[in-house]
Amino acid sequence: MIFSLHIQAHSHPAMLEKILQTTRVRGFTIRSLEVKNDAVEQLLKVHLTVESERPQERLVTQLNKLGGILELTALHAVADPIPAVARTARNVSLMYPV
Amino acid sequence: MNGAEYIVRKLMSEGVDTLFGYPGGCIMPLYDALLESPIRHILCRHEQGSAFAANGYARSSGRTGVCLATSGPGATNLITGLADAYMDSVPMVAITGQVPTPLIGSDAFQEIDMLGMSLPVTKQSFLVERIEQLPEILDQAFHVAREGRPGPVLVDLPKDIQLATLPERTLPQPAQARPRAQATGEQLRQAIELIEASRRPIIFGGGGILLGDAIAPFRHFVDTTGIPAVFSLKGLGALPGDHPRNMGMLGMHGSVAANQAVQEADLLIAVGVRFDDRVTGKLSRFAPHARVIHLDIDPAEIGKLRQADCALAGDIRQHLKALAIHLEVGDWQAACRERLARDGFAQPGQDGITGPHLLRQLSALTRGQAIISCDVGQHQMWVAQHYAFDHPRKHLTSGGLGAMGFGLPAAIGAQLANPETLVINVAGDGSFMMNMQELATIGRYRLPTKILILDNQALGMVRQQQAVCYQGRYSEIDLSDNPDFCTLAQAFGIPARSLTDPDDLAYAINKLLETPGPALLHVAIATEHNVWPMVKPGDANDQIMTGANP
Ligand SMILES: Cc1ncc(C[n+]2csc(CCOP(=O)(O)OP(=O)(O)O)c2C)c(N)n1
Ligand SMILES: [Mg+2]
Repeated sequence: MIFSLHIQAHSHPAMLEKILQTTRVRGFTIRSLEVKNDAVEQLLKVHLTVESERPQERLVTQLNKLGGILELTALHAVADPIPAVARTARNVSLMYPV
Repeated sequence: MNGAEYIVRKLMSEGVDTLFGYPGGCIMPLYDALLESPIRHILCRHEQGSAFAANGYARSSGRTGVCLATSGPGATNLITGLADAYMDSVPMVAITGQVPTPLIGSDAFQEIDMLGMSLPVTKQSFLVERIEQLPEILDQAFHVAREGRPGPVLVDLPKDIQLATLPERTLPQPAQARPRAQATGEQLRQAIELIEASRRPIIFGGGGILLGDAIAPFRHFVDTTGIPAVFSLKGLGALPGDHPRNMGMLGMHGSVAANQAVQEADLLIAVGVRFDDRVTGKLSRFAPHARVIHLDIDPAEIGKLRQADCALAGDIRQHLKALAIHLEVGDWQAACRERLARDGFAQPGQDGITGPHLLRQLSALTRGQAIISCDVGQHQMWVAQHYAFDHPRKHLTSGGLGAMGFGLPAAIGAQLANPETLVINVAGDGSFMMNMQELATIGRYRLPTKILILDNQALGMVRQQQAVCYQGRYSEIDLSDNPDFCTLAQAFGIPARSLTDPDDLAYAINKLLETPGPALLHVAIATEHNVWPMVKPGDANDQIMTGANP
């Protein structure tokens, strides 16, 4: 499955590394990556497209709990039947298939 | 006030009474400031020892363990202790010196990118780049270490920042806990429906019960519902050893009874667990008939390995209270009890001194009330199988990382946090030598810690896997040239004796426990004895092997 993630985070040193490391370790390959560092707002804006056999949930929940993540939106690929999910780190309410 | 003095102020405001560390060039300003502080600093003899000691301090007290190291080799030596805390969710703050900011990136003497190096083994890592950031970073560090699912945090602190000036009136601002998401009423109703519909429910309890400060609600939940409970290594003690619903440890070296009960269950109530492979065996065949209710504070754990039919993310205390309903499961209880009597952990039949004999005796003589700090290997599994812990905080064991060398320094940390409690390091001959320099720390501070070495003259656990999975092709597991452990202890001023006669077993353990101050008991056990039962790595738990020792 291919999907993309929009992330806003504090621009701490190593924030970007931590995001990329988490993505790799949890078994997701990066297809494309776009990063902006907003010096005024001290915000790191990351747009990631990743690919994996593993469920999207696996990466989203791990990224969501990293310190410094302010906002995380995960979008499914067009071909994917599951609707888009959006979450903010401040108000975590992850839903699991029951 | 300089940065270093501010750190001392912050540590005091956090109630830190003990630090574990080792000085060096880039952390010297902080060590200088410590001279004027009432905080006790414990000089371990290796930074890995400091990290494990802070780790043991935290595990045994529930408070945040703090360790210090200098830049470069000092900091890299902390890594294993941090990784262990990361895997087992132990709250720790590590403060490492760093080369002055203008030198960062110049390959300066003892410059290592600790921020980068620590990322995979900490919950969060910080580099202080400007003095104004120091107060907020320290506030966050202590907050993050404890908040939600605890873990280690690293603060990398360049030397010039330690020396830079902060306004005198700067005060620590402890961060406020933010509200956690809780399960909805609908989810709880659904969980109760699953519980009510179940005929063969099993509770699977883990380290999250202790971490979530949920021992009392957990026990209440078990007593009210009457559901039998099995435990991961880190859940042991959540029920007292003799509790009628306690079925002990499951998994690779769990009992046949516990594993079978899970394989037959129609409902698994997973409380603060992460479905580790040492517990589940082949995941696709774990608890094949069970629906799953999963309670955990970390939403990332729910559904990570086993899909939950009902996910209760959030504070397990509240959720356990909400789920405590009366049930009629008498037949299933009786079946589990019967099975435990038949297929639980038993004293081995053979004479002589074996690991199980020793641990059962130790458990009886201490009434399950000592703090036991284990190393890693067969002896660690015998502790889990045969020592009847009355509380999980008393069982210090490197679960997720499985780090040999954990036991002795963690026992030191636990002893300093619990000066009145009996603390015993149950060590393997291999593991003991990984941090035996810490005998000097025990000697220096005259800690009354006891050490019990189960010396099978081998890397027993590896030998066992070579016996079972590699046709007895033994490769590099022989330790028959071990040093004389008693002489070694005595060199550090620690009284020591060896046990050889099986008839002296109770006497020797009593003697160890009664000796004032530190003491070591060395026990030679047979190299060939293995830990049974066993599920081979990769096998399903229903393929459990019930071997016997010669
Ligand atoms: C630091 C580290 N290195 C290697 C291992 C792999 N390992 C697991 S158990 C074990 C043997 C432990 O020997 P010992 O401490 O004597 O305990 P025993 O199994 O003999 O009781 C080894 C080498 C490990 N867990 N940790
Ligand atoms: Mg051994």
